[in-house]
Amino acid sequence: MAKRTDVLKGTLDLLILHALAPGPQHGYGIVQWIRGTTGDVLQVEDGALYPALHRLEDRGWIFADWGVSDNNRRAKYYRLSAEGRRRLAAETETWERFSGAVRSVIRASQGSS
Amino acid sequence: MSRRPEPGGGLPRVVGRGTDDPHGPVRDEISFHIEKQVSDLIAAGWTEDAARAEAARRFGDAAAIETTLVQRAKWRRLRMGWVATLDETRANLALGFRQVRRRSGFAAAVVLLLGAGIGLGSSAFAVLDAAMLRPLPFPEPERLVYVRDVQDDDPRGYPASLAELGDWTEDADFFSAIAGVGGTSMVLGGDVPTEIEVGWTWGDWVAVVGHPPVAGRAPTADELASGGPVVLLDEQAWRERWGADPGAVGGTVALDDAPYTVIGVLPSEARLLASRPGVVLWMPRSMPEASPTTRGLHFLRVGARLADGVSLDDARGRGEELAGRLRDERLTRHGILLSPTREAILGDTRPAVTVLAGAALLVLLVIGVNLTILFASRTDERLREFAVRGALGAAAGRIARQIGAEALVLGAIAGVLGIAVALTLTGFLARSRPGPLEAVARADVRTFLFAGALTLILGLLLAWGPARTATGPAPGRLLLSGGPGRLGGRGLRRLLVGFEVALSVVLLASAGLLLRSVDRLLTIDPGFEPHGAVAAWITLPDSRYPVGPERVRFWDDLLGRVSALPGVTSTGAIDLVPLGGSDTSGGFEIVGRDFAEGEGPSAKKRFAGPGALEALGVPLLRGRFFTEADAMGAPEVAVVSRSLAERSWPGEDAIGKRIRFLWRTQAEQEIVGIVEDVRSDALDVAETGTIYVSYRQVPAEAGAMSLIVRASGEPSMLAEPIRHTLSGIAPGVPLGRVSLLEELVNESLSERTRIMGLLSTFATIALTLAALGLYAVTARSVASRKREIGIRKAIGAGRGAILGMVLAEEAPAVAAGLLLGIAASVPAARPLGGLLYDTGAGDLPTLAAVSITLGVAALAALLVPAWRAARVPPATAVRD
Repeated sequence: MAKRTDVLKGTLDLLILHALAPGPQHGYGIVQWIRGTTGDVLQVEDGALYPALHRLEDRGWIFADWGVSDNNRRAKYYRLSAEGRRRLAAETETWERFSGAVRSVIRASQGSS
Repeated sequence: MSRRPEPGGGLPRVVGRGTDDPHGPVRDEISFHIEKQVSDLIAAGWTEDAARAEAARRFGDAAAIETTLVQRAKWRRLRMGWVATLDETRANLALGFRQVRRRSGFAAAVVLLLGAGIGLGSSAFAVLDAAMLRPLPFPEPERLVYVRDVQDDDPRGYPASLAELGDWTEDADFFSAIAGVGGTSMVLGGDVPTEIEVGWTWGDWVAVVGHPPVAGRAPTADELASGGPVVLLDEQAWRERWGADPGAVGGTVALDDAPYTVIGVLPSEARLLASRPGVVLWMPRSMPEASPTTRGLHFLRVGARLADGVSLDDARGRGEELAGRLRDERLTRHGILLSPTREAILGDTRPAVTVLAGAALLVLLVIGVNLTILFASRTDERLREFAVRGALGAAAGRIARQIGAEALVLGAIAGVLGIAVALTLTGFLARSRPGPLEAVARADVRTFLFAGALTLILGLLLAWGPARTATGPAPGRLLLSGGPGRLGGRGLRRLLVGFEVALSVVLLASAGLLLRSVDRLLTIDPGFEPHGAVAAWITLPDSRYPVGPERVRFWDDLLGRVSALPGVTSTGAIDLVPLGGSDTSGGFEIVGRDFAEGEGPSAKKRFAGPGALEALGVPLLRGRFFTEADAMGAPEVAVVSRSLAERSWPGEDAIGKRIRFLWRTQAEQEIVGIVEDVRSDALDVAETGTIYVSYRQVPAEAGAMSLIVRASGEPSMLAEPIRHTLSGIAPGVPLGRVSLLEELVNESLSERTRIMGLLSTFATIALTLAALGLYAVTARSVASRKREIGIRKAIGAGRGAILGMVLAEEAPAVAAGLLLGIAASVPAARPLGGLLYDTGAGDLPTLAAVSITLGVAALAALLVPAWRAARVPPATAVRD
């Protein structure tokens, strides 16, 4: 089993935005998407997702609508707002710059040892 | 859907406000998640129980998360409400600003009127507040009282004597401190010796004032008992004359050539308590032994602090007891009168302040009426806009809030303007009553709060009418008719104009009555000739001119030289100049008549030398004036005024009769002349009796005198030659104030003329505004009736007829306002009471002048719109 890493708070926001980029999704779907894409490396306690979702909704980065799920139950679907899309692009770029920098540091230290 | 409302876009959605409970949706969302997880696990081959356990484990603490989400939802709802309100307010304010910018003429008119009104109202409040409401600027002001001597004949009381102050200091245990102050002028030594105002104090003056010295210290008990020689500087004088030099404290000043140590600086609030303005320094004096002189000379202003736990009423009761005891012990008729300090200092400013505040209120009302008319016209113009918006679905409340926002924007600008006006105007209004009021009246935080409240009230009142109209029933009907607005139709507007006219008439009438009073006062014969003479005040320092023949020689010398100056026709010296603001009186006895102890008559007493009465221009009725022969050693003589002669020797000839002053019973004076009465207190106060004695025979008093010089040509040019002459014979003796006698007459009327000036200004403003209001209402009415007027013209009405019609329509409102104003001017004149002289409310010439003024103004206001109406072409009937 792969080693699990706790998800940093800001990272969770970024993951949610990414999860919603393809289209509207309910909370459960977002959790499944995160699990599937990160190969269970980044595991979130499912419930912790919801405060983050509601926070993003309050900020206006995502919108929420009630809809009907594939099993015919009432579900709350989230989708990106225009603002959310802008944030997604910006945060992704920041994250990539950050992780690239970390990676180059690690490479440099491996090379010198 | 819980979308955040886009700012400014459509009606704000109120999220979840009201009934729905956030628990429901949150629970739904969570349970959906868990159920979905369970069914997926079962599909993957888990047993139901195992799947449920796993789903719960993966989800975490569902209850805690639910609470968090519900809390967040509640917060959001609260915030959304606010956000919606704020968004709308912001939009309304922006709209308000746009409206203000778009109609800058209207906005400017409103801001100017409102700002002037707020400024006027606030500064009137500041002055009223200072005179009647605000505590005086002393620590524990309610414990600070004035103590006066009172006798049966005058319930207002008299200044106290030193002996009385001594009695009270000894026996009145209900005071924690008591002190008296008397004003005098002394010569302050320096490069240029100057005459300054000195407050002589007896008792612990610093304790009575209550403010500790701002620098240095208060006098010690020893210094108080021995009289120094120490002085305290006044704070303001310390800043002005000594440049706030801390080194001044501990230094020495020369007063009348004697050295005094400066021990401290006393805050200038103490000046308020002094009997004369502009005290430069305070000098503690030792209490002399009681004697007939210290008992008989009443000149002290006495202040005291009530002891701990003693109320004013307690103190009054115990003062009564004490006075009773003193009466029995000393066989005097004197009592003690305690009064609150504000009453004593500012009590006599009340009539002036009431008049001013009343006048300001009237102007404020006129401004309010004009603003109402202005806003109503503005609403008319916008009714269409409101109707359209209403029809398009804008909520009534929203339109009302927009009107409110516009009023708020205007009100805020006007409020700032108003405060600026108040800052300037307060000092100006307070100067209508110089002295203590001027010192305490200033626009401060209380004034600004008042201005803020006034702004808010006026703003709301102004917004209320239009908002009601705009949101009234069926705005759509207005849209269909396309006719003029009916915001408080024409009738109500005429009523408002009539009201304005009435208010202006009240102000005009009050100003007119004062004008007439001043006019009448100036025709009064004051008993001396104010034209062509000057008075010059000179104070001899005791050190160089000790009491005695030195002084007489000085005056003889000075008068001799001054009379030789070119153009001088007569000159003399007298201790108190008529209308010069000071007075002394004394009791006297008529030789050969018996009076009960202390029951003798009293009279004003003046020390005058040869030439003084002639230079003043007081007519001699019988006998003679003083001459050079009335000198030391010669039999003492007196000149009396006509009213004293008539009062004391009715039906007899006063010449040759002998009198004796109570303070100087060792000598008698023979009456050698009778002169005309002189109005020396005020032009409207008739003289009751004066005795003139010669300072050449009683030189003790010849220290501070006025030189009266009558000259042909321009007497005001005499100041320099007199100064030159004085410095020639007595270098270092400063020349005090030099003033034309005419100036003294004018100054004695200054309170009236100042108030008259302010009232006239207020009346002019009110009249102008009323005329503008009349013009606006008429112009509006004419503009909205173009069609009708066109029809009239088309069916044959001439220009004259139309002109007459417009005038006739508006005239009743003006006439009614005039009548109402005249009726109201009668009670309105009551506060003027004491300021009026020989005239009163209902004075016909005044009312006639007021009516004519008003008629001219009204006609001017009406003619322009009436003429415009007359020129409406008949074709308008069909074209518009």
